[in-house]
Amino acid sequence: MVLNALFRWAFRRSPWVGLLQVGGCNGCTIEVVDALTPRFDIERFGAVYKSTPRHVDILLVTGCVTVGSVNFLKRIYDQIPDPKVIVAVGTCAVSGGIFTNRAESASSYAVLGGIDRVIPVDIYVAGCPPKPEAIIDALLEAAKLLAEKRQ
Amino acid sequence: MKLLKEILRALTRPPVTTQYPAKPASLPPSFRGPPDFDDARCIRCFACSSVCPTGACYVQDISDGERTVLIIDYTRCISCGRCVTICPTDALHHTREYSLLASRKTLYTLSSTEVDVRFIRCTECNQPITDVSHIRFIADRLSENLPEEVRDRALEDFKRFSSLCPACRTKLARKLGTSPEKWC
Repeated sequence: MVLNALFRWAFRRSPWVGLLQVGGCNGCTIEVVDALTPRFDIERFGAVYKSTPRHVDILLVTGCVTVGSVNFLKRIYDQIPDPKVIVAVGTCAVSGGIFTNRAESASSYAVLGGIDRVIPVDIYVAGCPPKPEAIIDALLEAAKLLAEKRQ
Repeated sequence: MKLLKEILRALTRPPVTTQYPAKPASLPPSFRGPPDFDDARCIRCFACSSVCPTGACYVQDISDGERTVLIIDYTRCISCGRCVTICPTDALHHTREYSLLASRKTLYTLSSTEVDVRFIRCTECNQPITDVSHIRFIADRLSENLPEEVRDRALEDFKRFSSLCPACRTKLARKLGTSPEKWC
């Protein structure tokens, strides 16, 4: 009980962040990496970039889901320990963006659309690409959500 | 000596890290946010919805075609600005919105404006053609830009053709023929 409270307190301001690119043009991925640089520095908020899903609390997913990336997106989602927060970064991750169209006939055959077609998403960040400031906002929101989920 | 200079400079300068959540982000002057729509300037040509590459900007009929809305879906918009460029009357402009978050997709603020479309109908077959203000806009453009000697004649022709749907227009043009003598 005490140990749990201690863990919660320790976890509160140290959300570990993972980055996953499932398709798209890589622009949003670069913006996320930009948010890690000294200029924007998300480590101010205790967020540490981790490259394995098993260490991650918040997963930033960029890009639209392609037919080829469905399986590894599902697998990586399952590998993240609960509680987890999934953030869809960029218009592609939100809805499919430029790779799809509102009219299905004008969409690409290899693209499913937004990542919410495959895994549940907690926070959507629109923008093509979103500014690092938007990613910081999403991260703070995600950390709040994570604390709520740990309760 | 060089290093000492660097240290002194580092001591006097503020840190490079932005103070973001405390201070608002600095946006470049030409920053392109998702576009917003100004109904007063719109002439209902709906060129914006036809150039949108992702289908974010579209026109929808609601309540059995009684009313029409122009929707800009921010979950799809990539802020490419093609609608802003193509708009002949600058009715669309880029916002300076940079942080668009939502916990659910439906929570996104759609820019949805009801536009009042008054269709002109074809005088031959009663098909709806386009909006009154669109035709008026083209007529104004013509009367501004055409040279004096052909203006009246061109406007007369325009009046005759603009009250017809494309199919009837083609029929009339066939009847009149395409030789230049008949036109000017």
